[in-house]
Amino acid sequence: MGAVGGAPETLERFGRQMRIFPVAVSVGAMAGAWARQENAPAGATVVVDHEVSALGRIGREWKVAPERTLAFATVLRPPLTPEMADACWLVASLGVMGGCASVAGAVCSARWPDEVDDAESGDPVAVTKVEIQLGPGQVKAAVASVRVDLDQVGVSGAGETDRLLEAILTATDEAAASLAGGPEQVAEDYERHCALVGRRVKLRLLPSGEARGTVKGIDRGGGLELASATGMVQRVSVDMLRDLVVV
Amino acid sequence: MSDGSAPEEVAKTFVDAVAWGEHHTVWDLLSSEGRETVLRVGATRGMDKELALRLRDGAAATAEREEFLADLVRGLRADLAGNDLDNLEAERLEDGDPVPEAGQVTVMLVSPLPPVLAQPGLPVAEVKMRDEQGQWRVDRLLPRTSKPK
Repeated sequence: MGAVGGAPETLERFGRQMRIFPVAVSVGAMAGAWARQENAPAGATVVVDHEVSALGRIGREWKVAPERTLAFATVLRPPLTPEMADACWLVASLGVMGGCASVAGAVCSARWPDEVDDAESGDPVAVTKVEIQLGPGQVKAAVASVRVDLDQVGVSGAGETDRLLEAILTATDEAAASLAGGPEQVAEDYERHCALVGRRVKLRLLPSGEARGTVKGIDRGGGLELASATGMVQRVSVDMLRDLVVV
Repeated sequence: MSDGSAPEEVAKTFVDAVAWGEHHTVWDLLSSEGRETVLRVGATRGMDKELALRLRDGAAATAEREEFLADLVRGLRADLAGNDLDNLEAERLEDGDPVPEAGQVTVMLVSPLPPVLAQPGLPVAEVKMRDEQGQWRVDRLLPRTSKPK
C-alpha cells in the first residue's frame, strides 16, 4: 500500500524496486514522476489497483474494469539515441507477450505499436504506452505503461496475477537488456510476432493525411515499414500514427 | 493499367495509385504534358535542373527516380488529404472552363453523400486528361476541397 501524506513506500519485489498504490491517476504518471524526480532505477515498477485516468496512446481509454486489469508501469533506462527511442514500444510488447506465454500459455501477437492480441482470435489482450524522457543526445528514461485484460489471458486471483506481473517484468527486462547491442534484435523479435507483417493496411496519420501499403516489417527505430505494390517504402513512426485498419 | 479504359476509370486508377503509394503507376499514368508540369513545378521548388532533365529523359539513377516519385506521391497525397478515397465516383464534365480541346477531357472525382440528403456528392478533385496514342493519361489533378488544418 502507498503511504498516505508522505513519500510513497518503496518495496523490494521480484528483484526490483516497486511501489503499489490502491488508487492513482495512472501508472504512467506515478512511474514518470518517480523516474524524473527521484531518478528511479531501471526496472523500478509502479502497480496501481485502480487508475483514475487509464489512458493509452493518444488518449485512448482503457475500458476493462480495474478489478480485471493488471496495470503497471516500469522504468527503462535504454542505451538509445532519440532516433531509436521508439524501440521501447517494442520492448513493452515483447514483455507482455513473453510473460503471458510463460504464465498462462497464451499465444499472443503484436499489433503495432501499442496492442497485444490473442494470436488466434485477434481480441486485444493488453495495451502499452511508452513515454520517453530525453537527455542530451540520448534517452534518459522511458516509462512503459502496460494494461492487461486478465480475463483475456485467463488469469484470476492475486497469486496468479502476481506471477503474471513477475513474468512480464522478467520478459521486459530481457528485451530491454538486448538493447545494449543495439535495437536490431528487439526489432527482429517483435517483427516475428507482429500480426501486421504482410497485411495491407490503411493508416490515418497525425496531424493529417494517410498512408497505405503492405506492412513490410518493423525497422530498428521501432517504426512501421510500409511497401507499395511498386516498391515504394514509407516509414511511419509511432508519433505519426492516429489509427490503423487492416484492409 | 488502363489500356483502352475510359477516362473516368483511368482517373480513379490514378487516385488509387496515389493512395496506395504505387509510385511507378502514378508516373505511368501521367501524360507527357503532366510529366513536364510535375518536373517544372519541382524545378521551381528547388529541384536540381539537371536532375529534372534526367528524369524527363528517363536517364536518372534508380535512387534519384525512386526518391522523386516518392516525393511526387507524397505531394499528391497531401493534395487529396481529408477525402474518402475509397468511394469516389467519377463524372466526365461535358463543359469546362476552358472548354476542353479535342482529345482532352475533364473528369470530376466526387465523394458521394448519403442518399437521404438528396444532394450531389462533394467534389474532391478535377482531373484534366488527354488521349495519348489511344490511352487516357493525366495532365493535371486539381484538388477541389479545402485541406484539413
